[in-house]
Order: sequence, then C-alpha cells, then structure tokens
Amino acid sequence: MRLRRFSLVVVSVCVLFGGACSGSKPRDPGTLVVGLEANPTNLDPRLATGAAAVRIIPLLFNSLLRLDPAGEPAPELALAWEMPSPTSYILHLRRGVRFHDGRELSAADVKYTYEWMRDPKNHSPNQGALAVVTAIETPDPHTVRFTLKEPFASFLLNLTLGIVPAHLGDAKEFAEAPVGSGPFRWGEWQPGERLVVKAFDDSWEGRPRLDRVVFRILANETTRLLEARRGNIDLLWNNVPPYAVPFLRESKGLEVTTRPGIAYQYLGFNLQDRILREPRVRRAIAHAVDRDRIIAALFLGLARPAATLLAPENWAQAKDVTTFAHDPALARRLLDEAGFPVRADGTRFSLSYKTSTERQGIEMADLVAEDLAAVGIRIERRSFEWGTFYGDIKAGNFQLFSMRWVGITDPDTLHYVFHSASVPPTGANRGHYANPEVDRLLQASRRETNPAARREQLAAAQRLIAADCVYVSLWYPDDIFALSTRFEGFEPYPGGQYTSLKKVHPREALP
Amino acid sequence: MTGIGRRLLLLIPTVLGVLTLVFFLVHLIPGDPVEVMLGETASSADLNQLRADLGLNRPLGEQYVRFLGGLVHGDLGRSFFYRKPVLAVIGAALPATALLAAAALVVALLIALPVGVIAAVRRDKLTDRLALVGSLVGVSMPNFWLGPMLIILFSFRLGWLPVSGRDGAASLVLPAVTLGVALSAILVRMTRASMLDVLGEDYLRTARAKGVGERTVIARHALRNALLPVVTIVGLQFGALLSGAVITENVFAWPGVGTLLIQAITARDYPLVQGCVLVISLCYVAVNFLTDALYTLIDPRVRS
Amino acid sequence: MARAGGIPVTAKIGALILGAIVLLALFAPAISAYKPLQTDLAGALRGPTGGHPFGQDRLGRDVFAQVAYGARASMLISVSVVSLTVLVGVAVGAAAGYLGGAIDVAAMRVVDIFLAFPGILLAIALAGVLGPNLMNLVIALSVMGWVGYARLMRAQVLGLREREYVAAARAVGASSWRVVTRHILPNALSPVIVQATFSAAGVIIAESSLSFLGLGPQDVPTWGGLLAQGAAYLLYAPHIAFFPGFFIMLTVLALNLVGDALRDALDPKSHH
Repeated sequence: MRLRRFSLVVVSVCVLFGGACSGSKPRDPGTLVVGLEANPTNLDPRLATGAAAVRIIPLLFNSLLRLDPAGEPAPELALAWEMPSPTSYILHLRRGVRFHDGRELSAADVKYTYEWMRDPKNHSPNQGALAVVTAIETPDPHTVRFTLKEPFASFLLNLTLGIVPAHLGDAKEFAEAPVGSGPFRWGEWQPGERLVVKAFDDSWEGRPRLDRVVFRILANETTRLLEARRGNIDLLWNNVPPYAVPFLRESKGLEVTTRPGIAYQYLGFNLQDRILREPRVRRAIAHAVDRDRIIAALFLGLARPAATLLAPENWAQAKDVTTFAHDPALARRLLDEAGFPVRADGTRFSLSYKTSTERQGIEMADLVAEDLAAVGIRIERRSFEWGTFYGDIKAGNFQLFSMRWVGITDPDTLHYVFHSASVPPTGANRGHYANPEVDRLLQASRRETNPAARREQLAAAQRLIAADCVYVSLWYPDDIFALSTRFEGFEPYPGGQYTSLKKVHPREALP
Repeated sequence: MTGIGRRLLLLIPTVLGVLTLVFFLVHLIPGDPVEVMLGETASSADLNQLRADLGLNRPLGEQYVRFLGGLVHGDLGRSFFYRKPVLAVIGAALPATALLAAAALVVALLIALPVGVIAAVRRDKLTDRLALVGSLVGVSMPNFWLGPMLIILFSFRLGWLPVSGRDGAASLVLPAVTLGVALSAILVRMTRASMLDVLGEDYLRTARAKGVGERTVIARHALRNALLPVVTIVGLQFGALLSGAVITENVFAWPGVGTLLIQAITARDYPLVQGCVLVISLCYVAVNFLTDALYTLIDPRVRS
Repeated sequence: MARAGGIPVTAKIGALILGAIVLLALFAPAISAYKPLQTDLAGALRGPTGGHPFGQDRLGRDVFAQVAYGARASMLISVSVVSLTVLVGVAVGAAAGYLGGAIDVAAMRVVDIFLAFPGILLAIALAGVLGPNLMNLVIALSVMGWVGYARLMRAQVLGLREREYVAAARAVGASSWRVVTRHILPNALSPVIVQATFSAAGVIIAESSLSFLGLGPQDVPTWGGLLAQGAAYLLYAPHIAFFPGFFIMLTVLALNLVGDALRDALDPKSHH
C-alpha cells in the first residue's frame, strides 16, 4: 500500500539521519566538556548563590585571595597583606591584571565591588558577611585598606569574592555577559542547556591551555552518566554517585579518581524537643547508628567516618573529641536510664525524621531507621521537596533531620552553627543548642589573633559540642571525579569549584 | 462569527480564574523564597528588606491586585532567581517546548494515521487487532519508563541516537517519540473509528460506483473527512501533551518550559511560576479555541 | 445491544489480568516470601534469582514483595479517587445540567478553569502544603479529576431532561431531586461507568507519575516510587524499573480492555 511504504520510508530516513548525526563527531582537542547537574542561575559574583554558579565563577573572576585545595587563604589579586591593627587589613594588589575587555584592574574596582555588596539596596547575599566592615579605602591604585568595627579572625576568608569592573558593573545586563579578570572569558549562555567560556589570552596567570570549556546542563543523572561513558562529556565533578564508579570505570576513555572529601553529613536534633533534649537519648541514638554498615552499603566504602564538623585536613579540627562507637546494647541501657523503657508494643517512643527527596538521603534514612528500630525507637520518615523541607528545618519544625555541610573550611562556621545566638534566620543553629561555655569559647576565638590560642579555644569548643552530642556526626563522603583520558591536570577543590580547569590540558601524546 | 467572538469573551474569565487559583496556591505553599534567595548568611534585617522591596510583606490581596495590574501592561514581573524579566526567561525556554510538542505531534500523526487507516481498511483482521492492542499498550506505558528504556536501547546499546540535551536534529528523536507514543495510541483509535464511520458513507459508494480506484477513494475522500475528529482530539489532548512534556524534558534534559516550571516551583520563584502557568494555560486555551474554530469552519454541519 | 457471541476475548483477558492483580494486592503478605521493607545489604541491586524472582533493590529489598504491596496502594488510590471524582463530578454535572441558569454557567466556568490548569502544578502544590502521603495524593488527584465527570454528566442530563418520562414525572409533581435521582441518573450512568474504568487507568498513571516525582506516599511501597528508584539505577539494575513499570502497564491495559468492552456493551454509539 502506498501509505505503508511511505511511512516506512519516512521512518527510515529519520533513523538514518539521526544515526548520521550522532556518530562520533571529531572533537576539537582544545575543548573540554563538563557535565553539570544544575543550571547556574546568576554568574555575577556579587549576587551568586547556588552551588552551580559559585563553582564556575572562579573561572571568570579573580578575587583578592583564594582558597587553596587545603582551604587556606592564598594570594590571588592580593600579593601580600598586613594587619597594622586587629581591626584593619591592608592588601597590596598585583599589577598588570587586565579585565577581559583590556582595562587594567585597580583598587578602585575592588572598592566598587565590595561597596556594592555592602549596599543594602542591592540585596547581595554577601551583605551579611560584610556587615563587620566599616570602611574601605584605596590610598593608591594598588592598595586597599579594610577597616572593621571589631576584630574578626576569619575576615580574610571573606575576601574570596570575585572582583567586578567598576566601569561595567552597573550595566543592567551585566549578569548576562559578565566581564571579569579570570583565566576564562565569557562565550555564550543558553540557560538550561549550556554555558561556554573561552580562554582569555591576556590572563595574568598565563593563557589556559584549554581553548574552550563547555558546561552542559544535564539534570538527569542517568543521561549524564551515559553521556560520560559515551565520551561526549569529559569531566564529571562532584556529581558522580559512588555506585556509578564501577560503571564509569568500564569505559576505557575515562579515569575515575576518588579523594577524601570534606563535606560533612550529620543527623540534627531538635534540642527543644521533649525527648531529644535529654542527652542520654541523643547519645543512645549516636551509639545505635551503624555508620560502617551504611558507608559500606551506600558509599561502597567511599566515605570516612566523621566526628566533627571540620574535616581532618582542617588546621582547626580537634583531634580528641568524644566518639560514639556502634553499640546497640549501650544504647538500650542509656535509653532505659533516661526513663524510656520498652512499652507493650515493643517500642520506646517514635520520632519523625525529615529528609529532602534526594535519593541518597532517603536510603540513608531507611537504614538509620532500621538501626534505631533495633534499640526500640520507631522512626517515621518524612520526605519533602527541598523548599518545604528547608523551610521546616529553619522554622524548627522537626525532631530529627539529616543534612550536609559542603565546602566548610572556615572554622568560624562553628560559631555560625553552634552559638546560641545563631538560631535561624541569623545562623544555622537549627536545633537551638545553648551552651554558655561554648558560646564564650567561640566568641573569643572570633577575635583571637594568636593562632595557637585560637586553635585551643576552637578545640575546646569542639570537644564540648561532641560530648553534648548536638549532632550525630556521620561521615565525610569522598570527592569523586571522572576525567576523560584525553586530558590531565584536574585538581578537586574542597568547595567543588572548577578552578583547576585553568591548569587542565590535553594529555601529551606518548612519543 | 458571533459564536467565535462569544467564545473569545468567555475565555477571559477562564484565564483569570486560572491565574487567581495559581497565585493563591503558590503563595500558600510553605517555604520562603526570600530565605532561599539570600541564602544562609542573611540577617532578619536583610530578609525583611528584600521582602519589602519585592512587595512580599504586603497583604496577599494587595499583591494580587498588583500582579493583575502588571499583567495588563504585559509585565510578568522579574524572576527572583534569574533576576531577569519573567517574560525573557520563559521566552528563552518556550521555543524548545514548542519544538518538542510539535515533533511529538508529528511522530504521533506519522504513526497513527497510517496505522489507523490500515486498521480500518482491514477491519477485524490480524492487522487491525494488532493495531488496537498496540495502541492500548502505548497508552498504558508511563513515559518516565519509556524514555529511559529507549535511551538504553537506542543510545546505550545501539549508539544510534544521542542520549540527551538539545543538540541538533537527532537529539529531538527520542524525546519526541517518548512524548508522542501515548498521543499516537489515542490517535490510532480515533483515526480508525472515524475512518470506519466514513468508509461506509454514501458519497464513497458513489465514487466507487463511478469507478474511482480504491486507493484514491481512501486517500482523497475518506481520509479528509476522517481527519475532523482527529483534529479535535489533538486539541483536547494538548493539555496531556504539555503535562507529559514536563517529565520528558527532565528525562532528556530538554531545556523547555516544563523543566523551568518545576525548577521555579522548587525555588518558590513566584513570578516565574505564575508566568509559566499563564503561558501554559494560554497555550492550552488557545489551542482548544483554535481547534473548535477549525472544526466549525471545516465541517459546516457542526454548529454549536 | 450486546455483540453477537457474548463477551469478547479481549475483555475476558482484561478481566482476568485485573482479577489477578487484585488478588495479588489482597494476598500480598501471603504471597511474598519477604517483607517489602526488609533490607538485605549484601544483595543490593542483585538481579532476579530463585529466591527473589524480581530481583532486589538498592537496599536489598525484595522487588516482588514491593510490587505486590505496591498493587495495594494503587488499588486503594484508584478506587478512592474514582469514587470521589465520580461522586463530586456527577453531583455537580447533574445540578448544572438539570437546574441550568446561573448554576450551570458558574459550574462550567469552574470546570473550564480546572481544565486549563496544569495538573502537575496543583498536585505538587497540594503535596507541598499537605505533605506527601496517601491521603493527600488522593485529594490532589481527585481535585484534578472530577471535572471530566461534571462535563459528561451535564451533557447526559441536558439530553435526557426533555424526555417524556421526565416530563411525566414533573407533571405528577415530583421534586427536582427525585426527578434527577430516580429518572435521569439511572439512564445517564452508562457512560459514567465506562469513563470510570478509563479514569481508573488514568489515576494509576497519574499516581505513579507523582510518586515518581517524590510526591507520593513515603511509608508504603508504590509502583511509581519503585519506578523512580529504578530510573535512578537504570544502568546497573534495570530490573528495578522494569517490573513496576510492567505492572503499571499491565493494569492500565487490563482496565482499558475492560473499559472498551463495557463501552461497546453499554454505549455502542459513542466512539469516544
């Protein structure tokens, strides 16, 4: 029948056409394709929030200081700095730095950027962190002075924000085609699809060896992994789940590397809850959770058990805090002592455990629920989509929940999380923990400029926090990245930034 | 024409009703966009300041009035997250969804028309039964299952088609097929039923008696008349097509309005959610309206 | 007029499949060797074996047990939603059709508004406000679904309103309520029954879509939830996605076959 033949022809043409189009396209050796799991919403460093944007911005913008892979401040635009007094910082800028449009970067641009972020009219998410600054002066074009209203030991870590050119920053559509001084300059952006950045020839760090980096936005994990395995994506960083590692390793064109990470996963308690304010209950829960079993099952071993919020690589981590080994018998004893015996139905009490809808969080919750059921605690898992979940946590509407701290290198975070005044929305003390001694230590450590004294204060605070079992510290998942064997040189940064792309280069051919 | 004019007027309260419903629903969902926007480090003062600037601290009724006022001027507000006008954000995503929907429609028609016609012509024979069963199976398959299955087969095992993203003509094939299969299943039955109706008609008998070849009878006379109900169904199914697009877009990383909508809901980006819903509803209403009008114009026997 | 030869084969097959799934749902605890939420980490992601005919999921839970218990959730949800939507839709449609006037106009405007609404948005919003659980999923789906019946019922009532027996009843002095319930409804129900069968199928797909997006009940196994897990692990353990998806398809197919037969039997004129 004519119709049938016609349809057959049409279908064949489509398939052939499709096949021809998708066959291995010869790829430009200087272009590296990255698979992103989320759309960067705003690439203006003064406004960016959201992991995707924050991780890409260091490619386009430089900051006064940067964090090296160990999380320590290192020079970038500022070559050297001094503190003439505990509340004043003077930074000396590098010369010869150019913006992508050729203009030279000077102290005026630094002042402009920071003043802009401090201005409440602009609603910058960084405004709060800069509230401690009272004045920014530029005595000469290559020197900047910050004056603070009180000593703030972690101030330098706030100087890692990208610097925006004063002569372009007020343009309404600056965010659509940002201009910075970073090793890559703006290429193109199709929101939701791809973001392209190109090498900046006149970069003060030297032109990157890659010509272009293409960020492809693929929210669906299956498609991302398949694309990597097929060789259409060269780099997956910070979005490779542990169970995908053997799958990716099956491809000869990919090399999968795992490194110890500093992201910190924990169980949070609501310390105002009738049951959970009893420390023995919290300790019992900590002893009941079998972390090793969960690490083996969910992470395939690619995680390290944690005892403190700060990772072992952090200079301020306290090494000798209380830990809670897996001991269900001890847990049961503690619960009995705390006045929660086993009732007729076999349980002692029930708790609600909130998570987001992220798969791994739910799987973990189910395993934790099993561990807790073994000591008589019944868990009701409630998963909500992120906005609702986060809202509930901030509002204190929870008993147990689990979250992660990602990229924490600044020990001042302890103040943000555990100080009694840091309850939301001021801080992240969602459980309403209040320990006056911890408050005193954290407050003192903020002003303390002597590193050794500061370290001891922070350590003492961490010991108290661990002993009080404010969180159940779970683990630090490893950082995993997969890089095409056509390239080499990628270094994982603790915050997940793509910064080291400026050093990545095509692998030299073997002679 | 007054019929159409009247229908147009009736559209307005419908669209208004939709907007109102969405406006209040979105605002009642727990979770605060200001907190999500400003992130962890914001103080209460910052949060209140932003709330005031965005008008979120005004009574709900007042925000609603402002929203409607803006609409009249064609201003859909600014997206909280993209910090760009909503119209621009949606405008960037709309062509992708339109393309996907159009391609799905083409796929559906390409499958359904030939199969439906053949099934009608070979009524009750094996081909017909197979077609009916096939269409039932097609309608029963969730597209978030079909999509990944197709990816595994055509991209992974066979390597014929790209996995995802929007990257040239070939990348449209799998998403369009995934989205189009359910629609094609419905259209097959519709085409078949309508062909059956028409095949028995008198004017066909006359044409056959005149000696016109069977093929021409079918192609020229029957098909054209059989297409009318198909047109209606396509219009009615448009809503389902759009809903299906949301999941399909996610599976294939297709950058359209569906994905945008889900992201906006998660981020509590009220203006963007409202904008997306407005656009989607308008599309749906417009397609329905056009379908109605087309039907009325093509078939003079039908007047409502 | 019944077709010559009695019940067609396809309907029998459909009914058989449906019956099997209902039995699976009812006797799930007896049929499954394992409890659905019982983990077995050593067997995580393992494919079908003798002991686990459908394989195991990410935490080693038996997929067959989850599918069997998932049948319960699906049956419960679809019966609840269909009952609710039929009740509300028929009531509204009958009132609109019979009473006419302002009620009719208002009701149809509301129907149009709901029809223009992207269903997913409503469902997400409701699940967000109320929390993702079985009850709220039923509510969300019911809110979406009643409009079809309202429209259908209204059309039916409009057609039947002018019939002789209705006029006779009114002449005798019967109240509107009596006229509608005694005389009009029984004759209008055939297409409703047919539609109910098809919408049960639709509900199962909608429910699985929402569970897939994470908005369904969290504490019981659902086909959609399992399918979502399967989609995440598609590359390593396709059996997790295959079986629930297959059962969704089977159930929906069965409902469609039965619905087709019902339509041919009860309402042979409509090809819709």
